[in-house]
Amino acid sequence: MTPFLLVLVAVLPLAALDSIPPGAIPVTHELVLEWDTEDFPYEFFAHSKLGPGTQSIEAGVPFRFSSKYGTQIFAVPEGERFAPEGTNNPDPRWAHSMPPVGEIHQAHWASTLREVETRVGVVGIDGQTLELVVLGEKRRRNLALYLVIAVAGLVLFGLIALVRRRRGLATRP
Amino acid sequence: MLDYLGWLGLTIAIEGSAIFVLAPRGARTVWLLTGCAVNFMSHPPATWAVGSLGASWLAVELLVTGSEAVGFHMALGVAWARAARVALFANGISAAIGLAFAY
Repeated sequence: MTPFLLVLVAVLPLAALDSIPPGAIPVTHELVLEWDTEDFPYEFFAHSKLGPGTQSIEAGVPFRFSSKYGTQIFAVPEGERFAPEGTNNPDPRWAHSMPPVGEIHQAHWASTLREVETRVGVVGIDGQTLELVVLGEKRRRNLALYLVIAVAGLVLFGLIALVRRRRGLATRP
Repeated sequence: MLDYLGWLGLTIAIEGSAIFVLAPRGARTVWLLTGCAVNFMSHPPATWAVGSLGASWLAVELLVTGSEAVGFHMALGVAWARAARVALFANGISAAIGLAFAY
């Protein structure tokens, strides 16, 4: 039994094991990294040991990250390799840090929040520390369903009031 | 959003039952339809206010009760006091059950 479970865990994509508890809905949270290419002649990578894995970051292009899997952002000097040959682990020389914001992974069931995009700026590299700041945040919501239900209610309410008025039903105590 | 529709359905089922109890025998259908209509109108903005804006649940419940009383008065032509009683009874029961779910 145990080998079977071990194989199952190895085969299942870890992201699929992330569960949303009852009473919550999933939210997509992405980061957008911005930097001055003259001040920072680097290539940037987002690296997680599990989950999203390693992604090359393009300036202004949203990318996924995971607080649960400890995504870190790495600054790699241009022309250098992110990871030494034969390994997926980042070269320990490169400056890195955690994103300056926690991942919003889920929301209350009643929330209309669906997507969050946080703009992060590179402001400095101090030794092996990459200095990042939050520049802004955009939140996208889904209000369409609420609107449809409210309008349906308004139409139904109007019809009831109209029918009662046409029939001349008097006010009752 | 299926979660939301489930909660809306549950709210209508609870408040509809309460309204059914208070409705006159010959007018139960129109009272139930009015109950559905006022809930359709009040539930989405109330949910949005609490879930997305972080508004006070109690304040929103009171506003919903008041607006539903206005709805009952306008659509059913009942007196203000009776409309308020119906709204208070229906929303009181659904709020109590909602609190029981939450805690």
